[in-house]
This record gives sequence, structure tokens and C-alpha cells, in this order.
Amino acid sequence: MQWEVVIGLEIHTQLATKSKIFSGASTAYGAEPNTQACAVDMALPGVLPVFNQKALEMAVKFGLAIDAEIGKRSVFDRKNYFYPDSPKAYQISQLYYPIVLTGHVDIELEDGSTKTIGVTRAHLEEDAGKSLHENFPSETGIDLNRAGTPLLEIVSEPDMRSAQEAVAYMKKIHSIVRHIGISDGNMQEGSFRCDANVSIRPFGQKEFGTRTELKNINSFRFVETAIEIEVERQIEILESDGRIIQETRLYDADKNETRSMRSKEEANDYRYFPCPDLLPIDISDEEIEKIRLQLPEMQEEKLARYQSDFKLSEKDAGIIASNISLSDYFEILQAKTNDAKISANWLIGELSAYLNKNSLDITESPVSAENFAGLLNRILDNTISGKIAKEVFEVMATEGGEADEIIESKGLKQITDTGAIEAIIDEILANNPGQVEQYKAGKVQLLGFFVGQTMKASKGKANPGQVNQLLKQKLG
Amino acid sequence: MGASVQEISLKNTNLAAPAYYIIAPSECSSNLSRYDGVRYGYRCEDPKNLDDLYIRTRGEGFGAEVKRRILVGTYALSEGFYDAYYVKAQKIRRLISQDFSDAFDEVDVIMGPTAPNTAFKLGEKTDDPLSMYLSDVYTIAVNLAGLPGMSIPAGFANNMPVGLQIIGNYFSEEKLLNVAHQFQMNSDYHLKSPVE
Repeated sequence: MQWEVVIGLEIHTQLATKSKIFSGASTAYGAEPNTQACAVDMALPGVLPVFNQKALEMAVKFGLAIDAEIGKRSVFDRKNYFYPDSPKAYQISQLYYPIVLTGHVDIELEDGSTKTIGVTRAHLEEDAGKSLHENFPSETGIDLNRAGTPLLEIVSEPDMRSAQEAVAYMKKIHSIVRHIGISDGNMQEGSFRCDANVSIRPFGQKEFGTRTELKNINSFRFVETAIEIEVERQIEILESDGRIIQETRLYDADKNETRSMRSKEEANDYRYFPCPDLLPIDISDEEIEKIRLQLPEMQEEKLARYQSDFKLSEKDAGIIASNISLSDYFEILQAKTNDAKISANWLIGELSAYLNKNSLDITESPVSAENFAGLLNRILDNTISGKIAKEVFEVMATEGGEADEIIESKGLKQITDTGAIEAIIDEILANNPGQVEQYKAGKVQLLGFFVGQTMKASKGKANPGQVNQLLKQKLG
Repeated sequence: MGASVQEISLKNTNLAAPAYYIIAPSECSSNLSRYDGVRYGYRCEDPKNLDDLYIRTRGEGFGAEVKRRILVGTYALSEGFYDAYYVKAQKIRRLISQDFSDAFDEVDVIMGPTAPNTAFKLGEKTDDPLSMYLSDVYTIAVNLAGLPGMSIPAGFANNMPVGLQIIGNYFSEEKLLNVAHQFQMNSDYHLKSPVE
């Protein structure tokens, strides 16, 4: 039997607000436990939530970025359940009227084609605290620093047909939330996590199979492996005439297996109802348009613009457009050098190689875009060759300083004085009479040898174009 | 006093008590969940585990009426019952609120008895919560509509004090206080006590 895999994802992304969604406590990560939990986060009696407008703006931004309809009136609901890290014993979420309605994103498949994945909805909610088990033998510690951190839960349609598509979709959403600046997307710190709904059905069957939900998969790699082993498990059950039970399963990365957490029958009745402490949020078209103006250019638009305006290759444009910090850097280079090609080449080549080698992000580059442009301009105006530029770059990266100073102080300025280059060439030709003979006899590929010798003798400073030209003349 | 009296009808008032006793317990079932014995308030002795802590703390700490409301509210919000109870009660709430808004197109304040009966004896209705709830019928409509209301002494019936309720439109607390003040400038019920 040929099985078709059906996957839908629920992605939780923490919004990068300074304070919590319903209180003034800080959302910064990594503080001492319970130092960033105020009376509201601790659910002391009598406290009331106050909604953080920034969280609304960020949610709307996301909606606009995925071409979704915005919920003109969204309403907060309470999801009631007892759990130690949820001190109110309910989570404030949006069930009935979410802030973001139907939208879509395009993912690129392995064969290069694109596929549209529907986004059912996205809604605002608060994160829970954390249960700490280390350092508490036979007890559980509770850290409420995370309680009340704003989350945007992004729910997809069951549109994905393989683990690879699910990863591509998750990566796409990850890049969007980072690109529009609503989340740092830090998966180690839990800012970006996902649950996957997985089912299988015989190819050609219309009805969906019974699904299971895989909880809390926190890396792109785990999404792929968790889905793959769950699909295998389901196929095995169905092919041995078993039945899939609708349940929530937990992926265990250490054992590389999924195991049952609770079945549908054991599921909580969350008794959702509109939170009486919070008013519905009404947002006008005017406010939505104001937020639209804050949106950066989307990746696809940037990709197209880099190819049409700057004549970059699809590959180079793709690399640069995929990361907003990289494209910000590129655009400064382009503006300061007025040469997109050399900017892209050096950014993707020399600078990226250096950053990769030293595990640095582009935002941590030791050479600023302005200084890097200064270096490229010296190549463009023939002050130095590309080869020398690499040396200068190395100095700029490790010791700092501007290109001009380094070129000056190290005497790296390119030799463009024809007389000086001719003097070197004459010496080289005089020292290699045999090769000159052969060249003149028709072995013209020896030109490279003479160029190399000349460049070496000039310590790389001779202008390679001029060297070529003069050599050809002299060997005539 | 210079005021003119006009009779009005709030036609959905009879629905106020049933709606209120769905909505208030529903909220209360959720609001009181935070009293779990972990951070503050009563905590049971020697809990064996987390569930035991929750169950005994709440079982021992809450009184009968609170427990009744938590149970009623939990039921009303449960899957399969939510639309029939909670949603319906909210629709009634809207109708009640609309009745008041229509009335305030005609009059400045609404006056009437605070309760349908005078006070009952302590503990008298513990076994009959329904009739106890119904003694709130005139005030809870005001709560459901979200309006300001106040009660002032208005005499005695069978030597038991009777309250006069004054209800105003949204944000009209100043007017309410003025009306009550005028009433007391022209009456002395507030200075009297039941006969010994």
C-alpha cells in the first residue's frame, strides 16, 4: 500500500516585546528564577491584566506578512486547567476570535518548485512558567519568569505531505518572524517551538486518517525525525490491521521515539470562555495600514529586486535576501560602492567565510559595512588588487582599522606606474630567456608564468591588468 | 424635590436571576482556581502529593456556597453545555442591558425597591439557595448591565428596614449621589432604627 502523509503544524513563537503581554514585568531571558514575575504573573488575588499594545502590533504585522485577513475584533478567552507552572490555573488565549485569520506562505520544495501552505489562524496568548527538576530532589521548582511572555500561536492547514515539507514550512515561518522583527526565533531558549499533527491515508483517499499530535519539537532536525518515525509507526500499525488512536505523543530525542502522553478520552475539558477581565480588541483599517507601513520589504520582493535592479544571480540574491541582517549589510555596501556585484561577491565570499570560521553572526562582524565598503572602493579605483585586498581584510578583521590606513601604513598601494612595472618585467624577461624563447616559438600559455613572476616580484602590488598588457607588448 | 416620576418597564428583569446565576458562578469557578494552597491562603496539612494538595486545600478551605458556585460554573462552561448555558446567559445579559439603555432615553435615574422582601434571618435560607438567590433579583440586573446603583434607607415594613435602589446610566455616579443626597435632605429614614 502506498501511504500519503498529512501534516499540519502549530508553531508557538515568543514575541519580542520588552514587557509581558498582560503585565509590566520584563521578558528578558535568563534572569534568576522568579525575579521577573510581578503580582499579575504570580496571580495574586485581586490583580488585573492590562494588554500590551506592542504584542497586538506584532501579531498584526505577522498577519500582514502572510497576506492574512486581520480580525477586526479579537477576543481573549480563558483556557482553564490546573498545572503548577500556570498560577492562575488558566491561560489567557484567543479561541473564538483570533487576531489573525486565514493566510498563506510559499515554501520551496526540493525539486525547486514552490508550494503554498495555508495558515488557518494565528492567535495571541501568554506563555506558562517553567517547572524545574534539577537541583530539587523529589520536588519541583517553579520559575514564573516566563509566565506571561507573549506568544503568537500560528496554526497551519493540514497541507504538508512530508517531513521535509514540514521543515521547509517551519523554516519559512521562522524566517518571516525574524525578518519582520517580531521574534528572535531562538530555539535553544524556547522562543520558537512547534507541535505537529500527523496522519496517513492511502494515496487517493479523500478523508483524513486519524491523527496524532506530537508535542514540543524544538529544532528543525527534530521535526523531521519526529515526523518520520511517527509516520513509520502509523504505517506499521495500519499494515498489521491495527487502528491509530487519536492521542498526544511526546517526542523523545534521546531515545528517538514518540510515546503516548494522553489519549483523546483523557484530554482536559478546558472550559474556554471569554476572559471577563479584558475587553475585546477592536482594530481599525487605519491602524492596520499604519502597522503595514512598518513592515520591512518581504524576502520575495527583495529577492526579485536584487535580481532586477542589481543584476545579481538568483543564488547570490537568494543568500543575501534570506537574512535581513545580511541584506542590511549588503545594501550599505551597495550604496557606498555603487557596485552590487563586487559587494555581493565579497560579502558572500571573503566576509562570510571569515564569519563562519569564527562562528560569528553578520551582526557581530568585526568589520563594519562602512569600512568594508571602503576596502571595496580601493579595489574599484585600482588602488589595490583583489589579492592584496584579502590581506588588508584580514588585518581589518583581526586588528581593526580602516582600509586606507592599512594600505598606507603597510605600503600595499598598487603599482600603476607603467615605468616601474616595465622595469620589473624587463628583469623577469632577462632572467628567463628560455621561456621567452618558447613563448616566441608559439607557446603562448607561458604568459601566465610571466604574469605570475612579475606579480611575485612586485609583492603582489603591480596592477595585474597593466602587467598583462605590458607583457603582451614586450613579448609581442 | 422638583423631580417628576414616570413609570417604566424593564421587560427582561425576570431573566436576570437565571442569567446571573450562570455567569457569576462560571466566572467564579475560574477566578477561584488560583486558590490552590501553593502561594497564599489556606493550605491543607501534610499534602501527600500535588493533587492531594489541590483537592484537600480547596475541599477544606471553601465554604458550601462557594463550592456550590464553583460546581455550577464548572458545569455551565463544560463542553456540550457551554452554548446552552453560558452563551445563552450572555445573550440575556445583552437584552437586560438594552432594556436599561432604552429606559435612560426617557428618565435620569431609575428607582425601586432594593430587594423583593425584607431581610431574612441568618441561616434561614441555607437549605433553599434558589429562594435566597431570588432575593437578589433587583440588584443583579444592574450588575449584569454594568450600571452604577446604590441603596439608601427608605423606611420599614414589619419593623424591618426597606432599601430604595437608585440606578443611573453609565458614568453617572455623581448624579446618583446628588439624587440620594436630595432624598435624604427631604426625609429622615436614614436617621431611624427599627423599634426595639
